[in-house]
Amino acid sequence: MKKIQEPNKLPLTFKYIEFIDRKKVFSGKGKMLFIQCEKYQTDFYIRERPLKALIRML
Amino acid sequence: MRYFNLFSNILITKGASRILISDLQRNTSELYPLELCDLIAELNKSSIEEVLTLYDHESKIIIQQYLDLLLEEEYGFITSGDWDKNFIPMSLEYHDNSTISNLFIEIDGLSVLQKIKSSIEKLEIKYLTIFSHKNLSYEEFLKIDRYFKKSPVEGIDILSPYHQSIDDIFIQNLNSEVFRIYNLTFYSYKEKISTLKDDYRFTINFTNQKLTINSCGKVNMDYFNTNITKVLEAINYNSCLYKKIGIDLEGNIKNCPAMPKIFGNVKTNSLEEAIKHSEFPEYWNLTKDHIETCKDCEFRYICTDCRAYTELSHKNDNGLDCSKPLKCGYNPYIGEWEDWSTNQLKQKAINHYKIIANK
Repeated sequence: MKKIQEPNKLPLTFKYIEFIDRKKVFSGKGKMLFIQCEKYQTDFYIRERPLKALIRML
Repeated sequence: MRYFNLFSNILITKGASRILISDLQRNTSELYPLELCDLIAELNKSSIEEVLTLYDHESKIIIQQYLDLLLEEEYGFITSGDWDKNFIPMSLEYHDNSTISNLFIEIDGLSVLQKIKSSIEKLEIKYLTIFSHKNLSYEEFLKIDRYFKKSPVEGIDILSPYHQSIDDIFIQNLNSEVFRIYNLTFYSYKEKISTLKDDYRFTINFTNQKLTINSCGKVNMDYFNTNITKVLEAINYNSCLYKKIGIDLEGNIKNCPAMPKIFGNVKTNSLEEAIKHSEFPEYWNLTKDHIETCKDCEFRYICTDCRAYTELSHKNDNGLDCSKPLKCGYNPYIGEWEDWSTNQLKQKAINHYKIIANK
């Protein structure tokens, strides 16, 4: 990792930041999918699954 | 003196015969004996040493084992001198900023979707569940996805009959062209496609069952969800009908397409008009704590309710059906699951719904 020249003293938590593996997040199974949304004026709206079983048929 | 502190994100749901400990940070739930609930309550009032004095020698060993379990599962931590007062209890309030969060619609053509598209956008509905009675062609799947291309819809679930054109090429092409669809279910299939990969943008289910709208409302462990949003919603509101809107095959606007009460019809009313009806949100506040049998069940906050198919045995003071869901085979008083469809006590209600469905 490139050493960052920070003029101000960083909080202690900085060294515990977890770096996101972009390859993992944006490809393969369970990847994050960005979609368009005109109403919210963004091309980076996230496609999401509901947090509960909306229907229970099977 | 040592004190046991339960983490704020640990939710204990007491049932009639067992308890469920839900870890709302790790999204896991585990079953434990009822006595562990009493022990945690005692540890919340007294120090570990004081609690141990309440038990004889043999029981002390069991208490120590329970303490080890609580620490091992990271449900809490031990402090000396006093409880750690820095960790306040978690708020159990639930707020959802949307007017309607999900729509469940029965279709036999795409025209109705075109009709309600602007209402879906205005109400900022996040999830659509589309149950199609007719075969959907490749172009129709694309059309559905494209109808909502620029809308705030976050995900679409489609259930459609299986037909011969559906093969691995069909699915692969769909995978590269649809964006909002997160789940596809093909029902009444004859033979399953064997070469399907499992890294599509959406999940795929095949079932040989001939699904109808009456197939919904099943309660089993596969449909339980442990996450803070779902659990807090279930604590405060009805876990199925809160902010749900349904449209049946005739275009009738309801709480759920399988329920009888009608609040308008898409041919003459907008969804916005229908939800203004004073009785539209009548079931929204009926939590599992007020539903017969469910109120004594340890799974009540991770389970999703059903008001369309119930045992039809109880009504509350406001005339709302507060009976146990018909398609739940769990008995919380003995902690056992059984086949709900063969339960003799449910046959009257089962026959009632069969008659309604055949009308």
